[in-house]
Order: sequence, then structure tokens, then C-alpha cells
Amino acid sequence: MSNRIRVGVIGSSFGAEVHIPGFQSLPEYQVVGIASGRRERAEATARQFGIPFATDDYRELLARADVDMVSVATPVYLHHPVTVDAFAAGKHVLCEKPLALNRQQGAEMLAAARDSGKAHMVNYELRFLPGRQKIKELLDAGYVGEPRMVVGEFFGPFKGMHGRDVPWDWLAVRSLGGGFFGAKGCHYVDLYRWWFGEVTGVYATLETKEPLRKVPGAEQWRPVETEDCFIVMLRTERGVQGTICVSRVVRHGTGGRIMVYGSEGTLILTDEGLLTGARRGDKRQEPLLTPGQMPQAGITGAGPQVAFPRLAREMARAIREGVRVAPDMEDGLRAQEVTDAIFRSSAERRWVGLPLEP
Amino acid sequence: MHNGVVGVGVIGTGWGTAIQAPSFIRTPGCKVVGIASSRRERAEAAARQLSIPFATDDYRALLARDDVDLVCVTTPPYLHHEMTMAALAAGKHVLCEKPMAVDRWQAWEMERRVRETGRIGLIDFMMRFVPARAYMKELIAGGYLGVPYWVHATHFLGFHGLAMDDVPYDWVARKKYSGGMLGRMGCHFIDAFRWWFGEVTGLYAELDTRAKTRPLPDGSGVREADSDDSIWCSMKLDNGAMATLVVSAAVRHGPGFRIEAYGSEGTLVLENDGPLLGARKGDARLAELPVPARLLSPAEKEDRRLRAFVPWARRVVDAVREGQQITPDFRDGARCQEVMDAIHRSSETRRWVGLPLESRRGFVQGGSST
Repeated sequence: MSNRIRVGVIGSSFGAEVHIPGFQSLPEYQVVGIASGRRERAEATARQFGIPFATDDYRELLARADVDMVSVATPVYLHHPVTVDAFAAGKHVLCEKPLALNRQQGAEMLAAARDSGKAHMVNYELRFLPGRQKIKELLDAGYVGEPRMVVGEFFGPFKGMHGRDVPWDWLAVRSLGGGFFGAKGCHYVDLYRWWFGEVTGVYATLETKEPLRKVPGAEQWRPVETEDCFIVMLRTERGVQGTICVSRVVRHGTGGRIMVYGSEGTLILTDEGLLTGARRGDKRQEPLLTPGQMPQAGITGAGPQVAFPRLAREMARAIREGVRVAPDMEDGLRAQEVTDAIFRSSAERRWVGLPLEP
Repeated sequence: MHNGVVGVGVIGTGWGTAIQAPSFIRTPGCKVVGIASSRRERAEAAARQLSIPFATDDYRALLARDDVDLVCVTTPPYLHHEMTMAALAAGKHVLCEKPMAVDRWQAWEMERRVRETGRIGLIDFMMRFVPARAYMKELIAGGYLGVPYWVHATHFLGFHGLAMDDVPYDWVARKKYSGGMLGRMGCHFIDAFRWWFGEVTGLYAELDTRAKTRPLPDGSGVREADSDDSIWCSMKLDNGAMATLVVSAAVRHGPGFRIEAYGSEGTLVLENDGPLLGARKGDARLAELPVPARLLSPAEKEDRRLRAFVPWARRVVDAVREGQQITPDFRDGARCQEVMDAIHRSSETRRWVGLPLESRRGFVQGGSST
């Protein structure tokens, strides 16, 4: 037991839903503490998962000598202070995506990571879904030839809920790092960077179609400051045009699919995990992976629960072997820069080139 | 008009011979009386094949004939303006292929001339007559979607695994002849967005040529292409909805097209030949919305292009016979042309372009002539 990595999880929503069960499913880890801004949530989560220590002050968790690593699953506005404090306390850090509120915060987090010499990752776990891994493999093997276009679409209801029916929460507040782009869109940015290289420019439109949401437990509506749908067009250094079209203000939608087009072939992955492909000379699109062959190849259902442990294993490798793994905070910062450019483009209605000025 | 029968003259032997002339031939109340092509042998072959009495390599000879009431202009877009203006001057009604012209200046001039002459002027946005699309129009107008939020259209070609890189070189590869996918496919989607939802008030777009070369038809090599084979466009409509258009022909084995329309209360999805899918609040899932029989085409079981064009041809003939202007008309064509011009401008400047675009001095777009 003693050689397990001892983890403290900060945040009891996604932390309890995905991080804790993920760590507990792996022999590399032991979850030793949980922090949540709401003490009763921290204690309930500790009871539920048999975690010995619970606190409503994450600094108490960071002060513990028996914590090797922290997993930051708080609302986005807390990522920066918690992560910087964690590195200062000598912990390895796995931080939820998006990395921060903006690239300045992200740069400080990466600098803190480097100064500390500790291992770091950002939880772009969807890279580790089997369908997306398979696409990476096929792209590297030249399946599509020279890649030309990638189109990512998601027409939800996200988690089964039309935007209007989603209870009002921090995701509705800009200053807390809310918004559906941070929830869903930045995953595509990470994916496109991973597959096709750095983003060289963007055009984006972010909109709020449902401006009010109901406060849980009260017959009261509160304003939504953040986007519930968005269109992003981008280009990468390898000449690929990327498109992201996402909406959660959809009651019945087509779900999600990612289409990759190149000079020689095409790959299409649905969110259910059906991956088909065809190349020059083929008769038609044929399945390359099906949900039957590879359960959870897609994101529908328990996508994050399937993908997270695979990312956590990489984190363990980084800690134990001192190697650089991906996606780390440098990847997180690059994606953050693209995100900042996307918001700027939407505000200024023009193409925004990358990298942005320092 | 002889005995109430509309005489149809067709200019162009590509689309004209494949779809338009055969559709008019089977349409009651009209007769295809002549065909023109700059290549005489093509005109004569088409005339023989379709039993059309008159063939010429000079479209003006067709316009000079008394038995021609309606002229179908099915040539490449750079010829539409000249031929349409000549047809109107000769007192003919005109059905002009889409895209209407090379730019909005030509298009609005044609639109003004048709009003001045009192002739019927129609643009061949025949996709409006695809039964599922006509039904979408009715459903949207009836409030099926609630407040429209977003209409998203994708079209990825590459049928039989052939990308634009493999398509023989012709005028479509040339920008100067208004070739490219925006004119070929994109304008149908623009027309659909306008027809279903309202005018485009602004857009951002990028046009690309991803397949850099095309094989020469004689197999002697390849030639550089400079027209767009890929379209990216994000638009805003006057009802507040967003519209997106993502198209590429520089792909292999694409899934074809899909149009998804989302609103506060409902969703409509049409993928290729259908069926039309829809769901509203309270429904369990997207399900087929059967198209009412009254909207089905007389050519329902045939080639998808005939399925749309045959009912359209009937309306065109009725409009000419009754002297009744219908839509899609030259105004629709010119509005669409404006959006296309804005797409080109946005693609060149990489900025959002508001619509309508500026008009020339002393020339009011779409309004009464000054």
C-alpha cells in the first residue's frame, strides 16, 4: 500500500463523480483526503468513498504530509489559486480543464509547475476515449493522407437537459469561469491541437439563447451570463481547418460526431463510439471500431468515467518516472490561449491570429 | 403563346439537356421548341435525343423565334447576365439557373430589368420543390421550432470516393467563370435559409481551394484549380437565429448533406434523401414526419433532380401562362447573390460583413427603380 500515490481531491461535484472513483479503480492511487467549500459535501463524499480526511479548507489538505498529489476539480475560477498553492506546498497537480480563467493565470500556473519540479497534467481526459485514440493512430499512419478539415458537432441535450431546464449554477456566471465553451468546447480545441498541431487563428461566435435559468428549489429565475451555444472556425499549423459547432439549447438533437477529412480518406466518429472510415478506392465507409468491439469508444454515457483512469495512469507515470506526459499544463495553457482568442474573436467579430501578444 | 401552350427555349446543353428540357417535355401546357449551345453538335445531338424541332449555336437565333415564350438560361454563371438581358429585350420570360449572376451588380440590374419589362423572371432554386424541404417550410412557418435558434447545414461530397482532386477540369474549376462550390451547392443552402427564416444580416466566411489541381479531361496531365471547393460560413439571420454552412468537395466518401434546425420548442433534421425527422417538446425522440401527399412530387420515384424539377416546371409553366409572377424570383436570386458577394468579401478581409451591402449611387437594391 505504501507505494501508492496519495491523492487529495479538491471539489466534490465532478471530483466525486469522476475523479475519486477513477483513482480508486487504479492500483497506483489511494485517495486520502477530500476538500469542498461546503463542509457537509466534503464529509458526505468522504463517507461515501471511505476517505479518511475531509475539510472545507483546501489549504488544510495541502498542509498534510501524507498527500503527494492533488486533483483540482473546483469551479474554474479556483483553479489558479488552488494549483499555485498546491505547487508551493510541494504537491503534484492534476487540474481540471479549462486550465484557468485566462492565459495570464494559465502562464502563472505553468511557471509554478516548472518552478516546483512536480508532475502536472490537465484533465483533457477525452483524448483517452478509444475512438479518439484510434483516430490519432490512424492519422499518424497517414490514413487520411494530408489532413484538410475536421468538423466537431454536438447538438445536445447535454446530460439529458435542454439549456432552459438546467438549474442555475456557477456555469451561468462569467467571473466564475462558467459557460458551455469551457464545459464542452475546449475539449475540441485540445483534440484538434493533439491531432493537427498548434492553432494559428480562430473565428468564433458565442451566443446565449436561453438567458434565464431556474434557481434550484426556488420559483425564481436568474440571468445567464455565459454562452449556451457556439461556432468556432480555426486553422492549425498543419493547414487543417477545424470547425466546432456546439449547442446545449437543443431538446432533441443529432448528438455528436467528429468528421476528419483528408486528401486520401475520411474518418467519422460518433459520440456513441461508432468509428467509420473510407479511403480512395474503397467502396464505402466501413466500421473501424464499433461500440460492440470497443465499448465506450465514444463519449455518450460514461465517457469521462472510462477516459479518466487512462489519463490518471499517465499522471502516475509522470510522478513515478519523472517523464513528461500529455496533456500537461503547457497543453492546458496552449488551449487556454486559443480559448482567449475565441472569446476575443466573438467580441470583435474578426479573425484572431495566434499566438496572442504576451 | 400558341393556343395557350408555352413555348420553351433552352440555352445550354448540360443541365438544360439532362434535367430541364426533359422535365418541360413531360409538363402539360408547354412545348420545348428550341435548344441553343455554343457547340452546334451538342445542340443538334440534344435536339435529336429529345425531339426538339430547332437547334442552334447562336442563342440569339433562339431569342428571335416567335414560338419561344420562356427562355431557360442554363449556361455557366458568367453568361447569365448577358443572355437574360437579351432574352428580356426580346420580350421573353426567363428562368435563369442559379447562381443568378457573377455579382450583385449584375443580379440587381437583371432584377430591375425584369420589373421594367413586366416579364416573368424566375431563378432555378429548384431545391425548394424537394417535398421534404417544402414541408419544412410549412412546419417552420407554422411555429414548429418555436423561436429559431440555429440552422446548421453541412455538405460533404466525395461520392464514390472521388474528391475534387479527381474531377476532370472544366469551368467549375475556374474562379473567373464563377465556378466553385459556393455557386454550385452553397447558394441552394443560402436560398433555403432565406426562404425558411428570413434575410441574412451579416456573416463571416472563408472560401478555400483544397484540391489544388484537377486532371485534364484528355488525360494529358493536371491543371491548377482556383475556384472554391470548400466553404465555411457563419451567418446571422434577421430573426436572430444563427446559421452555419460547412461544405467541402475536397473530400472522399463524405456523408452528403445534413440540415439541422433547432429552436426553443422543436427540432427538424433532413439528411440527404430523408426522411424528414422532427421532434417537439414532450416528444420522446426525433421521428419521421411524413410529408403530406399534396406536397409530393409527380416524379417522386425518379432521379432526385427530376423529383424537384418536375413540380417546379409545372409552376413555371403555369406562371408564364397566367402572367403571374411567383417565387423564387429575380429578387430572391439577387438577395442570394448579395450574400455570396458578402461571403467573398468576408473571405478576403477575414472580417464580419454586414448585409445588405452598399448600393450604387442612384440604384436602390430591390426597391423601386430610381
